[in-house]
Amino acid sequence: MRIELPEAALDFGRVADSALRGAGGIDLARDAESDPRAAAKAEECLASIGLYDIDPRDGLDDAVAAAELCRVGGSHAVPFPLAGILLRTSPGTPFALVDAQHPVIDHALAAGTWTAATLAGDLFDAEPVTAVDSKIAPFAMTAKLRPLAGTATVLDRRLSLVLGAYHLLGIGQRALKLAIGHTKVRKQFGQPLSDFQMIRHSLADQSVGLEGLDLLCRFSLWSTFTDSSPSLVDALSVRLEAQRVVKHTLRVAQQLHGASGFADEYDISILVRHAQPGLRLPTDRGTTLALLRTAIEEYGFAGPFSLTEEQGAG
Amino acid sequence: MLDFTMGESAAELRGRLRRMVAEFFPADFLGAFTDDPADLAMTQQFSRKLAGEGLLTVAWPREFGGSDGSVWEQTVVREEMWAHHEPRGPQYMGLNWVGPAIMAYGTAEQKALHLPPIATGDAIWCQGFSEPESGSDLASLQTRATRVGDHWEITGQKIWTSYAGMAGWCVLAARTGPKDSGRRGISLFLIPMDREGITVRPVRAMLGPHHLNECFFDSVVATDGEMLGEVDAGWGVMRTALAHERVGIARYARCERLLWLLRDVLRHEWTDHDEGVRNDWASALVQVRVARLLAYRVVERQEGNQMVDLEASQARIAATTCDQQVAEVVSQLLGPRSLLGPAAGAPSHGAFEDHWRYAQAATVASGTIEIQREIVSRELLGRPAVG
Amino acid sequence: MTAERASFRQVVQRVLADSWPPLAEYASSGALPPNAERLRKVSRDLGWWDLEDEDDGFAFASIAIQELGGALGPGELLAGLCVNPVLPADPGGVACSWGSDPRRDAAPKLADGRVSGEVSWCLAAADDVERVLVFAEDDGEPVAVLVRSQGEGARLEEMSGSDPTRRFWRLVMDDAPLDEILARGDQATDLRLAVERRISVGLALDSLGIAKSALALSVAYAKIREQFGAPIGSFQAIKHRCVDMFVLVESADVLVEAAVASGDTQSGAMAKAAGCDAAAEVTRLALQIHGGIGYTWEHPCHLLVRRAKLNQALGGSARSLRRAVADGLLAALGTDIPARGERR
Repeated sequence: MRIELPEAALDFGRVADSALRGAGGIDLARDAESDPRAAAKAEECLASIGLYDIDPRDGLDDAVAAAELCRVGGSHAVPFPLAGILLRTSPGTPFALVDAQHPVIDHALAAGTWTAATLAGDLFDAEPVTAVDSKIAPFAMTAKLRPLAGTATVLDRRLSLVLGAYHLLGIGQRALKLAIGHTKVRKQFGQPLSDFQMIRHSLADQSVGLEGLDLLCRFSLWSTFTDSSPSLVDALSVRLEAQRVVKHTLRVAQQLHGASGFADEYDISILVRHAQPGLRLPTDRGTTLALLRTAIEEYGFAGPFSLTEEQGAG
Repeated sequence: MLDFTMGESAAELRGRLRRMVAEFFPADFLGAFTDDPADLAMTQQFSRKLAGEGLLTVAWPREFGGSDGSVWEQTVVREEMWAHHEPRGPQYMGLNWVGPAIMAYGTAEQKALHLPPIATGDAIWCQGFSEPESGSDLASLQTRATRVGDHWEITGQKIWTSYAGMAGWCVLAARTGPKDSGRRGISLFLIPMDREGITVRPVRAMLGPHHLNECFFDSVVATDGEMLGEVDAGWGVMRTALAHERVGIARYARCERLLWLLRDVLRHEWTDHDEGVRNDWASALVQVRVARLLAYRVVERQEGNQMVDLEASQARIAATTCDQQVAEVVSQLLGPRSLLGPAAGAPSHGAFEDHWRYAQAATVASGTIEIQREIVSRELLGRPAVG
Repeated sequence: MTAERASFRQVVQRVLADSWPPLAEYASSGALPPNAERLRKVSRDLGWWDLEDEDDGFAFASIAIQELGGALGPGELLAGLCVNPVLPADPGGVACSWGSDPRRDAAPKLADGRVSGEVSWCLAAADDVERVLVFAEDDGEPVAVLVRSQGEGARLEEMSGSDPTRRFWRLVMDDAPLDEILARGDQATDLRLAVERRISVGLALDSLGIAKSALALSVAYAKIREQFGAPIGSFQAIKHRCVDMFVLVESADVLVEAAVASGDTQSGAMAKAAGCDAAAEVTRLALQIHGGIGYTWEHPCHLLVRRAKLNQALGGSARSLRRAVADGLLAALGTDIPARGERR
């Protein structure tokens, strides 16, 4: 068993982190709300470290690189649809999972047309139409769908969900770092916040959640390439866990910042707002859970550790 | 590159262990810790059987009676054993942390004396750490080992000593340093439980018989040769032992088995149940997988001889919440049936009620969840400036 | 609370102090549950079993039920004070079910004056169970009948499980002759609903009492138990846990009071869900605070946990209760909300 990422992948992550920090980090995200050049700067930076050379469909090696990129991108709230571009169906046509009833795509203006798919596999051409225009979805747009023949592959759907989870993981990791930094420095009642037992323990719980999510992300990515199941069970499970953990971590981190957590001068505020579309699209937590449960009831949730007869379906 | 397989031999081993347990134990077996001494006897025999097939101390070095197996094979054994109510009985302590502690810190004589019987399934150990006034604050323990001539005399009281009534040996923590020497004045001794001056009093508890005991030590003699590690250096050994103990029990494995057993028991009425409750069942399966992966991370680090304090505590926190979450799901799906004992026609011979009682203790066994959180927060934030 | 009720509560507490083992000695008083003969007698002599002869009698009875819960009181008093008053005529040694599981128990059927089926989790208002109230179906028509527990075709089993503080029974009937028909048709349905309402509130009150005891024990323990050179109550994690317990208790209290006052199904359901969930969580936190000692047999902590857990599982599940409440609220609002799964 090999749970730790290979050094090459970790290196790539460090390079991406360095590059994005150099390009402005969360400032890019902050600026992007009013200045479209910020998004272009983000893309330029990502292209320079090899965004367009990675094809996650190619195999686990590339997929791991893509995942690290999404994670690091999430940690800087990069104002760019990383997963969408990595899974593009043709040059200039990113891929997104949508709810066919209410199609919304985050960072939609990164392209003129998108390929959209439902979790069930229905395929569409998607054209961004109107901005959602909300502080908690500043880059999201509603889309007009035109049905296409064929079905979105299971691979694409799994990868989209898993890369989305990696993106959320990155957001959560940044939120925890911000919270830790803040509580060490901020004093109340004569002590740094980080001395209060409840705060310490709450941060400890967040770290457990994020570590667990990280491992589940790795597992779900690996299983995408090692099992030939038509089921989205593993991918849905990591999306669910990402929604659960990261939503909670963001709330705790924002809470610990007090009122300043809602002021855009503070990175945590930007992070919380920009994370909302990823947390809610294409499925809210309740829907993810219901879909996962249905899938488990049908396909089981065996994994490679258990003998399938007991943990199987039906 | 990432790889989450345990290897061909692991899958084979898993199947083999399940067959062995199914053939050896009756369907209503719920572990060694019952009022029926035959249950303990069965686990003794089974341990010897496992030993005979090289499956008891699978990952120990051959020189100490093991099969030089991989930590992953050991993990498979651990999982299958815990999932099936620990057919090795109290011996799992010896395998999980006593043996490894002796291997790491013991003298040649101690290794020769103690490791073979653990490996052949002939030794039961208990852990004499906690005291009435020293639970979470273990470093404050007061059982005193006084130097008398060429030996030590140990007086004090231990509490919550699991399986003390069944054990032949005890890893006993006593203070050899001055009164307020804290963690710097503790030494460990390897003491036979039949030595004069030791009294064991069972403590009836919610967990059932044998799990909790009080041990009284009245001027119990210990030789220098019975000290594990150096004088006043016991705390380091204890920390390692406790970290091993934290991941030694594959809680997630029993949780997973029970969740699927539940579905099987309820198969004719499954879709009658509220979707929300079935969703909780699915959620629990995900939490079980997460707890499992966190445990595997510890195993991987142990394989690489890396420090595991932080990771072990994180895994323990996840496993604890998992145990309790599963107990909740079971109680929601089974309703009052989940609280029936075996004599009242409980489903699965009372396995669910047994788990529920056990899950209540998960937050305090081998270090409360608060201690685990404190260990993790120290890594993240450093020590608190005050208190 | 009115002065009258406050002084009634004091009376109940004095009676318990006098006729029932205190929590600290409960588990060491011998076999469980403790002998309730004295308490039964005193409670009868003081008129607790006839409180509902007065109009607001149940408000007083509810005070006793809650205190009894907190003292791990006998199941007979819970049944007697709670359900007996809604049973027609003199119920005598009648037991009724506090939580039959419709998926497990065969719904009792009546045919030619004989009853077949099972009824579980019965509590009796007396030391022994003479007859059991069974809600059955007679060719589709609801009926409420009494069946002799020791009669022909009937077998009474004691249900052993996690909660040793109360004795529960299961009645297995195989063509058992019925002893008496209490009600038919709509009257039987009304009786069943009345009994269910009482059981909901009874479990809520019992649980609220348990939760308050668990909180009190925890606060007391946190003040005296020392670790790391200080009382554990000075550690923020423990403090906050106690506060969480307090909030749960206070919230449940409000809902339970409302249910006692109104007596309607909605309020009862809310009280049951909130009260039983609160007690399950509060006792769990109490166990956490007490550490090892809370698990020992002699300590009341684990008994409070067990009883709270069983209460939570009996009656309706919190989830189904909450769903019923939601449905009721939506119906009352008369809103045009699409059915689950539909979208507008």
